[in-house]
Amino acid sequence: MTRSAAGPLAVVATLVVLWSAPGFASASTIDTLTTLGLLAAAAQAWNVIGGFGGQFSLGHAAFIGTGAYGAALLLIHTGVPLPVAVLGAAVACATVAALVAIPLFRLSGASFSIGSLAVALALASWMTTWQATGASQGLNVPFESIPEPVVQYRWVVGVLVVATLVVWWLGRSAFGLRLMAVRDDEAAAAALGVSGTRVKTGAFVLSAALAGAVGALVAVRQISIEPTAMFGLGWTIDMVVMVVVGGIGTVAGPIVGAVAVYFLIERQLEEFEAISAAITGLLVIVVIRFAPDGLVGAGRTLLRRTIALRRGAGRPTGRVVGTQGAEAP
Amino acid sequence: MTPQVVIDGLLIGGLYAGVALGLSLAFGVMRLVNLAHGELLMLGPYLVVLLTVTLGMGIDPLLAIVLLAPIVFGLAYPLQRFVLTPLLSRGMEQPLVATFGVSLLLVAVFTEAFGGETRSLAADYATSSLDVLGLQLRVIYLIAFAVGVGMVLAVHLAITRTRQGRALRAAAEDPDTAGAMGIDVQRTYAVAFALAAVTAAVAGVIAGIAFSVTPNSGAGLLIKAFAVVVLGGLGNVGGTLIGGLCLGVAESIGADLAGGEHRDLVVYGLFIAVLTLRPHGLVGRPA
Repeated sequence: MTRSAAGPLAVVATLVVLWSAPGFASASTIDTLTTLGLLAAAAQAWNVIGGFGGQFSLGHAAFIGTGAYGAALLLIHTGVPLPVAVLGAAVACATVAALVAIPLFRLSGASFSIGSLAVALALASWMTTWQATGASQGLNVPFESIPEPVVQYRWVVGVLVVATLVVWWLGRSAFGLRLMAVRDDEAAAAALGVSGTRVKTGAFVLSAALAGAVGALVAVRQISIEPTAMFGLGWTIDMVVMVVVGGIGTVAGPIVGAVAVYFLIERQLEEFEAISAAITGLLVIVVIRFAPDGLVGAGRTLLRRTIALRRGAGRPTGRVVGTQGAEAP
Repeated sequence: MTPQVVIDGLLIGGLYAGVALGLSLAFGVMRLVNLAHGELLMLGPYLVVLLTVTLGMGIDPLLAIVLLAPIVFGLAYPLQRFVLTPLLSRGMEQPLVATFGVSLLLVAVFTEAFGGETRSLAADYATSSLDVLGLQLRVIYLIAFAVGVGMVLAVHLAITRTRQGRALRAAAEDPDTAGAMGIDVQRTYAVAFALAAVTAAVAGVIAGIAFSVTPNSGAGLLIKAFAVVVLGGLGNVGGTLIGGLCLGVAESIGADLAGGEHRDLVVYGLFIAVLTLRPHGLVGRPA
């Protein structure tokens, strides 16, 4: 089998296993996989703007919250089927993102990050006082519109696949290349006729729509949703941490990061919530200090060095000697 | 709207200037966006809890500042020297992510060590007030104002009038040249960050007496600090004072007009509006 065929085959095999998992896996395994899938999909959504767009959003919980509330309101007031609610949530988030992008993308760098955090906190604060959405009590998704766990699981897998395809597409499409050009050097991209604000807004809207779909699925899974958990910092932290640990701006990074952070830390230390949070924080510091490209980047480097060694090159190639340990700012 | 509302806002505004001072200093000197600033603020009240409750020392929270300042300095110095400074040369995003990790770590440590419940620091002047010309002046607000304004002025004078302050400005302006002139840039950065952390912890102690805190209070205060910094102009220490007073008064008037439960919404709304319309601050000029 050639190397080029191995990748796609492995992906197809993984998808087949994931899709048919409810046939052989236990209900609790499916439950774990559903949670993992939601986190990975949320992280992948963040990766669109945070990784490929280079815009470090600290406000993405706002889109999980808007998606969850949007879907819940649709299900409560109109009783539409789940697919319509998920789509509706995505559209609602895309609209909100397009509106807040107008002020936010007048800002760049850290100001954008802080501005996006302020937007999320403002929405959270609004939702805790607004009677139409149940104020601090939040909303309850009607019982009859909650799908079976297996159906929820397949929806989560579906959204994760779509989000991953979007990110994969960003790596090879004209839009994605424009986006990365703006990320790497906005002035140079502008000189070549690429409007930074336009491509960043596009990526932001795309990212928000994906996060909104995740939010809709979180709503039907949790049944009861309240503003602090939905709009608060929690989801943003999960998304950012998972992408950073897995590898910012890579296709597999958010998934690898979600598995590492959720499965290897949060689940194993379920009874020691604060300790697991402390380890997560420490992991973020260590990864950014010593392996800024995350687990995926570190794995890639290791693989390249192993191959180089096997080929008898003696020392790893492609590394400029002397840049390591350069500290002066 | 009564004079009382404006006075309350001004006094709290002085505290907000102190809350934002460290953030402004770190940004001004190192272009560091410190997402852990809110947790550095929380270090103050939680170290006071450690000293007075856990270790049972019967000292006033304000006096405890003398003890906690060296501890905060000692924690913050190596953080900048060995974790953050090496990342500064890699652009803005990586130091930002690192401080994000520090923020998560500290919230978790506070929760584990002190529990998640709301705490306020006990002091007999916490609720007393003076009656001046028919205005009720809360004593703790007066202290907050004095400490906040005092810290901003002290840092401003230290930066502009002392030899070390000149070294700091040189290192901020052009680290390479400053280094060539014999200034230890690494050390200067670490000292600046540690000082920023101490001012934050002091402001945090006062916030802990005047209001109450939980391990998660840092995020809300971070936004307020950023609002102040943006109002006063990024990296402008003197502007911090103006920004703090503006935020205090705006918040107080906004809460009075819209109702107390919308206080935060007013702050965030104002913040987004200023960030959008005048990103260089109310008093600053475009770069």
